[in-house]
Amino acid sequence: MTYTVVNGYSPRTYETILTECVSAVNEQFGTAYTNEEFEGTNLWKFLYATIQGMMTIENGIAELGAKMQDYIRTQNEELIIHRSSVDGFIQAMADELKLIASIKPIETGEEAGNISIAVDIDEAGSDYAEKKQQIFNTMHKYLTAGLFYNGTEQGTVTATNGQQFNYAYDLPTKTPLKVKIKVRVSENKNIFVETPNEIKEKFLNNFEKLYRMGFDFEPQAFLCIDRDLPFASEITITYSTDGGTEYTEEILQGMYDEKITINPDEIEVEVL
Amino acid sequence: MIDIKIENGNAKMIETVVFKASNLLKIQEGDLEYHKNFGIDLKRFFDPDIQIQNKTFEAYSLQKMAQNGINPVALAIEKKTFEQIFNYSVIAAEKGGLIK
Repeated sequence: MTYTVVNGYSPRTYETILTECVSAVNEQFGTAYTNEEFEGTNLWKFLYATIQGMMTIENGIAELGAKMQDYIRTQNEELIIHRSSVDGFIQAMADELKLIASIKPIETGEEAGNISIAVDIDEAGSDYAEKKQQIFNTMHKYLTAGLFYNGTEQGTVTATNGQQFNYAYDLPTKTPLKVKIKVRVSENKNIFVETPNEIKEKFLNNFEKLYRMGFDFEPQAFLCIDRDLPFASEITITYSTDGGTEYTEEILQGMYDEKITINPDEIEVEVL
Repeated sequence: MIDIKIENGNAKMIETVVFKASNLLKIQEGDLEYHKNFGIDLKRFFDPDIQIQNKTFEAYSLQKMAQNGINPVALAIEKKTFEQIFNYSVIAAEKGGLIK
């Protein structure tokens, strides 16, 4: 078996092992057979089955090597990005609880020692109480001592010595938007023009895929000519935060706990 | 061609190309995962839907042997009521003096 940094352990091929076997036969019996001459004999039949067995073992070793590399890489990542850091804790919440979390940046000296965490979770879910305790347990497991936790959702975790520690987090602050999409059909292309409903569906799918709590809302990122609407020459997406009085296409800066929500009925699509 | 033979339960090394010829004629072409070209296409000849002349099989088997370094020196055909038995006499192909 050979080892390279890129491919890891590579099992030998049938031809390579057979060549080694034929060379061993030649050495043992003083012959000079090539692989082609040797193939077909009873001795080859016996070795063919042996080679298959060897290849199965070598494949197993290669697979084991790949799993070991993966394990070592994961361990290294955990050591480099430890779970008490901002990125590490956000990743831990995603890995262990499948939840999106974000942490408020500290901007003044007075805020030092205070931590505000927002967690994107459905508080109306039937298993919310259980999930809530899991969030506190995760905070207790990874975050350091000496912090004051701000937030509306509060609870306690008992440490191994019996002490009670208080934890808290915030639910997202929802910002509902009304959206207007204007699509101008290109006169230079002879491509099927999609219906307003299909355009709306594509927008919502992209919003679901690309947006998460805490991100800035960049309206033009959710529909592109090349990726989504090849028949268009121009796409303009505007939104309103005040129920439809004023529309803008500027980027909406998101707070760490802000979650943009868009009701499908609040999207207007115009194809020009 | 050196080969192995089981005789009275013991493995014995002998000089022969007969086993290679026998194995070639018994293995279905394409069945071996790592050596798909080895063997002959038995299924085609034993397919009940297609009738192929015995002469064709005779020529095909001789050609396949030659391709695999087996030199057929004689072929005796024994005809019976419902079957024909092909008895091949083989020697290993010479290595020297070949035109490439």
